[in-house]
Amino acid sequence: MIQGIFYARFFPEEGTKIVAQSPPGCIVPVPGATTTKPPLLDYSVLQEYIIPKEAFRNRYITVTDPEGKYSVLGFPVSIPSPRYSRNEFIFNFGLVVENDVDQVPYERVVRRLAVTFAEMEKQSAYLSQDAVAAESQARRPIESLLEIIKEDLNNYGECMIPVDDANTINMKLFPHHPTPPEVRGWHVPVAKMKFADVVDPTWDLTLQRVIAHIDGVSDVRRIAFLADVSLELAQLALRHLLYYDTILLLDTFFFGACYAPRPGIHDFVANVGGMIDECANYVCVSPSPSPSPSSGQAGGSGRGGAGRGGDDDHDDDHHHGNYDGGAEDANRNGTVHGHRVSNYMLIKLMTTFCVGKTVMEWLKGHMDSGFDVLRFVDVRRLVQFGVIKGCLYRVHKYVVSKQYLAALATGQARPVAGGDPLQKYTDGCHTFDQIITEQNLTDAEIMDKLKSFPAPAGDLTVLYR
Amino acid sequence: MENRQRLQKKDGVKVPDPTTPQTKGRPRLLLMGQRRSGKSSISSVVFHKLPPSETLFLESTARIQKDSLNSFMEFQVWDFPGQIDIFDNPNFTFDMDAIFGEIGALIWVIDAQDDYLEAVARLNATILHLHRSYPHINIEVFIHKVDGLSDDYRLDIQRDVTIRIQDELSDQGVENAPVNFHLTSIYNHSIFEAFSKVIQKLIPRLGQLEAMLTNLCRTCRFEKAYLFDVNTKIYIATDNTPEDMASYEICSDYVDVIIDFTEVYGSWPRSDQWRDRLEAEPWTQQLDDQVACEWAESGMVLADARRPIMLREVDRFLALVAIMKEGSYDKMPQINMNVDVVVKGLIEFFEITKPKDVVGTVQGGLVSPGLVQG
Amino acid sequence: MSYFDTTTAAAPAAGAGGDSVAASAAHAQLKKVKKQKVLLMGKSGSGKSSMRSIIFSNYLARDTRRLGATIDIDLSHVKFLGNLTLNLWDCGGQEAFMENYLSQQRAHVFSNVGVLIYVFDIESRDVERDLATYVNIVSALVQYSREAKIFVLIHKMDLIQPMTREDVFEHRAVLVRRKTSEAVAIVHKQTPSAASTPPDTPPNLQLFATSIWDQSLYKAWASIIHDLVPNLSVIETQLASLGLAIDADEILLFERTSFLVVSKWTSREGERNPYGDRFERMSNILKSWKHTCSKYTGTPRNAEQFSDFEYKMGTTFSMFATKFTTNTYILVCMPPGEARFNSAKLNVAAARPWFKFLDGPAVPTQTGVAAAVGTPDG
Repeated sequence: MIQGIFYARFFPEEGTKIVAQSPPGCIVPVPGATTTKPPLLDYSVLQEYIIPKEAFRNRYITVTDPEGKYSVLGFPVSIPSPRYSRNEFIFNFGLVVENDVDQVPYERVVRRLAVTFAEMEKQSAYLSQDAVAAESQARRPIESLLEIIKEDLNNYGECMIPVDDANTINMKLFPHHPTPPEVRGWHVPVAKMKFADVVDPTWDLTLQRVIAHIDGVSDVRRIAFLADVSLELAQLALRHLLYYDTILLLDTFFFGACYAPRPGIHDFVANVGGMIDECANYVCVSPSPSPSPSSGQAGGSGRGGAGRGGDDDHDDDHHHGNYDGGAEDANRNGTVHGHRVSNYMLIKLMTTFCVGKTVMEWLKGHMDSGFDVLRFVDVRRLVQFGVIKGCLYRVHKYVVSKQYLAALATGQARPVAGGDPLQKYTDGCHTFDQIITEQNLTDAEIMDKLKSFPAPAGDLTVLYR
Repeated sequence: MENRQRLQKKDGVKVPDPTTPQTKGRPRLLLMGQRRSGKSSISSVVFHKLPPSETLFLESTARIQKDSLNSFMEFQVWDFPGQIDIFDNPNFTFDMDAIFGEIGALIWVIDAQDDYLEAVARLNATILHLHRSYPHINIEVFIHKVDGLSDDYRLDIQRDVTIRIQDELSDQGVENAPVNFHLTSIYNHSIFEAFSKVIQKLIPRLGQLEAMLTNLCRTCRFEKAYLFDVNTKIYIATDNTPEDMASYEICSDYVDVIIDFTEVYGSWPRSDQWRDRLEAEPWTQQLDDQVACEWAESGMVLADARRPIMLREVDRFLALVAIMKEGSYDKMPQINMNVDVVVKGLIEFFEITKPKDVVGTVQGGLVSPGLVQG
Repeated sequence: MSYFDTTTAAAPAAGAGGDSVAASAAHAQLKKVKKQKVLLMGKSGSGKSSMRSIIFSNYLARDTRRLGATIDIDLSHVKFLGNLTLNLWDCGGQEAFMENYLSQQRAHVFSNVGVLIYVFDIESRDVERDLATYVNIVSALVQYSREAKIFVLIHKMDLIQPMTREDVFEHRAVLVRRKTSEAVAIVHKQTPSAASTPPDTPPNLQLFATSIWDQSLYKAWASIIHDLVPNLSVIETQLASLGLAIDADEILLFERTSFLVVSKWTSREGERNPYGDRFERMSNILKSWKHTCSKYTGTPRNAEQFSDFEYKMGTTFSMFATKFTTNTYILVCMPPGEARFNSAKLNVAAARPWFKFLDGPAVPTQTGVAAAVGTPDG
């Protein structure tokens, strides 16, 4: 929230003066004002930073008041020119915000105000002729301009204000996020919000097409294919969504994949924040024959609700999701009772993932010990939940060829076009997921191919890590 | 028009009789140009040491002002009022011979910060007039008030003016008229530099002078030597090394420093007691015999220990100023001997080239023989 | 050619014997580095920063047109003669700042002040208001720094017709004097503790008419500096001894950066010099020469520009200037005579250690005058 906004100027005779402020009296008391709300901060202490010495001019500066309650964000501009009485025109458009808010979005606003008004001053002496112009009432006074800016930014996060015939101030408060990680072809985007509610036809076309195919199951490559956009563009679009924290990236789910616990599992076992209940809500197969309705999971908060936007019904047509389909069948045939798996059981399920054990093997183990996992639990969702909550991590599978590595290291071999398509993956830097998506093969097919690989015995090693 | 006539009558624009003995034989400079082009300012700054900032208050010149300069060559500067058109005056005819008969150079001042088309047109008319009757006159065009203009713009103006004049002249069938152009301003040394160039052309046997200075530079390993007219800070000769504004500036400022010091400490007649005491025991010598040189001598070592500067008075009007090479300061006695010889040569030179009818002896006054301004 | 030197040296050697006791006592005091807080105040645009730039940063008068307004207080430390550091507070004169100095920063600004230099713009139209501000400033000064000296510069005198300058200045001076006494009186009335001191103590006030376009500025600043330099009497006595020893007509001691005359000695013959303003004129000449040099050598304008200078004006006079101590230049003007000139140069070089104390607290004291003025002949 912008608590106050002001325009300060240096006058050769009077010195630094607050020419305009909003709300009135937020920086300096307004003479003759009826309401005597004290100013937000001690102006006499801060004034030397509002129009500072030369070294601090023409740059973004922030000052926190001595009480540590508010920060003043400003960009004092100095325009040197012999046409001004002391060879310089110095001004500052500043914002007052609470000390503890994220100041990054406001920095752009402050910079924009400085640049715009500096340019207008240089072009038409907009600021230095202010007093003259105000008398003729030809234009909006700066004070009201500031008020609109403050109100619009606070209420709508953006503003668009025509200042004169030629200039309009367009500003928007942009949240600042770190640069998102790369989006890979084998990642599976999971929506964190209902895109259908926010998308409108003015959005970027590629983005619209990509969003339509985010279902929590399809990998990026597939989405690109289905949406009929190039992989690069799809990746870019998804990265954009990632920046605004509206999707999550997971890896493709295979029953042949391995998962292993991470330290986060402790929270799960201790049921921190009702995690297990959340999990139960999400993974337990509902007794109704229809798949779990998306709205039914409203209880899951934030990341827990992930996957809601994705339409689980499409699991069946996914070529890796055969077993998932089987789970659905089991659901349909299953009986009504006992749909809420006990905490003990959920913990047991979650903690029994380990390196070297595929989901398939894990499932078999539990089935053998008498718990028909598929009847009660959506395994894909359980894994997804574990990964999202930081309880599990995916153990990736790599293949390494000693021969190929040696050749690479000595610089002899470059991946040859037309050679074996799998050879380039044998440097240990490519996961099976990547091979699967890029070569459109199944895990088993790859293993077969590798077996028939023209290499001496013992040259190829498959790694899990 | 009536007004102007009245003014002229009142002031009695009379050309001073050129045949008076004093002016006879002295090369004359004539300053001309449009009104307010800066003629009076130039002559005030160069010949009367007026600070440039004070020229703003000069009134415009209403009559021909004749300045006889207290300088070695005794040239004259005639500051022509800009509003008088000497070639086209129905009521008043100027005695052309009187004005142009003896001048060495006509300096035409053009205000570069003003619209100069009319000035150029009048200059063309003047050149055409002069070329017929007085082809020997050097025409020197000062493109003036160039301070505050960018370097590029200055050159543009110079090019434009040059082309306009040359085109016009060749249209009239005048080729190779002796017209020279200078970019000048009274706020820096450029005006002095320009005058130096103009005046050097009027000096008989300049080459001889330059050869003497070049020789001195070679023998004493000087970087640059100038022969200054002390009162105007115009240099009338230099050695043959390339022109260098920076060294001219420092030398000319050095002359200023010496003049100022001389004024502060050389202005009052010392008491007899003072003289008696100095000539008494243990000195027991005439004061004149105690000094090595009756003329002003000075030297300064700059802090970067390179290029010391030396100055030596030649006569009442002239001083030799040179920039020396690193380390020369330690060899001053030797250098002084060489300089002495050259100075003697210079004095002889001017004795020979002096117009015969002018009696001008180098006088070593009791108070101070030179540098003090009259 | 060298028989005279011994005789010249004899007289001052005897004279200086008496001084040496006083001198060594003074040297003890000189060991302390002295800091002086100097406030430079006055209405906005009155020319404070301009004069500061000219005196301490070697600006030319016309360069000061390009200066911007001073924001708040510009602090600078000027090392002056080694054991004196000037803390120069150039206080922006805008009304907002002035109010701030008098309220928010009052104690901060006005305590421990050695000197207040207050600048009046003679062209100012609102004289009453200027004086009112001045009274406030002086009151604050007297309140926090009772001992501070006050220098009032009536500035921009070049804008007044030369004929009337003196009258205008005198008129203004009377006003300022009266206002100063009023301000002091007010403070004394307010603070009962001041009752012990007589209420009518005349404030330590000096007035000057100045302009950056002539040497009047140097005159004013030379007297300000003159008052600030500690143990000036020691320097002056020693300069006198040196002057007599080398038979000089005048000796000037310049501070290195500002080229202000710190100390001077003049012989009886030298007193006949009709130019009473020659000291500030010399400052002015040398400063503009320094400027020319810096342009020529391409060195910063505050750097040292020359080390030695000599000028022999036939039978009228001789003079030389040279780097003397680290912080000073000396200029000697003397009667003509080759031999006299050379021995004087050597003697001045020999006297250098004698003045070393000008450079800093570490003083090698007992270099007597007799030793300093040795005989240069072999």
